[in-house]
Amino acid sequence: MIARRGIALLIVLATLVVSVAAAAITARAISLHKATSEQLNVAIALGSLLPACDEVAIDWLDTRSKLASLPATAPKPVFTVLDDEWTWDSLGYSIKMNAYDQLGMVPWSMLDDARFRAFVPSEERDSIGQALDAEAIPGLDAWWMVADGWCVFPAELDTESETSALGSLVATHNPMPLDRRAPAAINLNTAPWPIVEAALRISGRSGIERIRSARSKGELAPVPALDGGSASDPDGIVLVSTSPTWSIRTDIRAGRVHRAWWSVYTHTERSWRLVQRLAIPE
Amino acid sequence: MTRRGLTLIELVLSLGILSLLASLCVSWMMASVDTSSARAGETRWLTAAGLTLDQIERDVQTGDWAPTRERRAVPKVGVEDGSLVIRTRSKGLRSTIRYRAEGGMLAREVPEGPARVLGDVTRFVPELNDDATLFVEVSSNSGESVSRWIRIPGGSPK
Repeated sequence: MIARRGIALLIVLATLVVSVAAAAITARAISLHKATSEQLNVAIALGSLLPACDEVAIDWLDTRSKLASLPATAPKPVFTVLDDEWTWDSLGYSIKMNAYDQLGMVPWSMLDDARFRAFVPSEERDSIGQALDAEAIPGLDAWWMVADGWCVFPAELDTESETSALGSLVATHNPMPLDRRAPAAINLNTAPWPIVEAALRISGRSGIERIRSARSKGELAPVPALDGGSASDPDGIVLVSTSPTWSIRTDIRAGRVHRAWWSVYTHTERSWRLVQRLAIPE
Repeated sequence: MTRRGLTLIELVLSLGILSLLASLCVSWMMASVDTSSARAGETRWLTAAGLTLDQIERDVQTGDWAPTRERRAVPKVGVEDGSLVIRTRSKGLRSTIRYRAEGGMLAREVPEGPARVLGDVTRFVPELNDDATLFVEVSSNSGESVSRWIRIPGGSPK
């Protein structure tokens, strides 16, 4: 009787071992397949979110950029466009978008100008000068190629830290069109205060206190009239109160997958157009 | 005390049942291993295909759309002889990337030279649509297929 039970137990054990092993192999294959499919779906979701972000950017540019004004103490011409988080299908998503006014920075064509030189560290300035090929359209990717340890793309969470990325300091698309001889423009309502002071000095205009006062109230300061009744802007600097060229950093996260883009939009004729988009390297 | 062993019939019967169960289990396990290997192969291909579509999407999304003379004359994305041609930007300079399927491989050709990005490709279909979208589909020998709609930024490709 005992021997029979022993044999029966052996049969059951052997069956169990084989069954469990087969089940484990099958389960592993299925879970791996499922995980891969989910990963693909996340990648597809990220890809479809980027065009949606374009719509958000265009809407912000259409409605909010015309009213963009920063206090005189603001160190960078940056605005939050979108900061959103949500969970869908047990996966966490987030989108962050920050807009940088291209006309609130040092124009790329004036990097060598003595009156703007002081705003950009010399090492970075020299390297950018090498990257600025007359035949190429300037872009942060070209500067990133020559960057020697310095920061090119602004950070995802742009704080008022002392370290400024070149993307928030020097404009790649001012002047537009991309012509070294075209006049550069400075937005009096978004540019850091030292740049506004320099621009007013160069263009021979006064009214700095009125601009400071308007900016502190979040209002748009109009461009002051030229001193001495002169009709044109000297030295190729045009002062404006709203900007037609913005760059937007977009960060999209789905779970642990993260992608970031740098997009430059400009207002041409009656609508906003995307003129450059770069993938921000990790 | 007398100890009664197994009779011959009982032994044969139990061995028969054991071998039947064992053969059933082994065949099930072998089938599982086969399925697992097939699934692993499909998974590997799907992963690689997904990464390839990611790469195509990045290439399409990246670049310059400034209204230059060349931009007006040549569309940014085109389909030529079944190949996908993307005029984009690389390292700050203009660059042309071509995706071409040949000999069961999908290659990404850049000015520096071609690189194989996906194997076991039986079908590669890039299609441009009037609403400035690009449809891309790749299929494998084993019947797996991955496709994606990619919106071309900066307006119509035409």
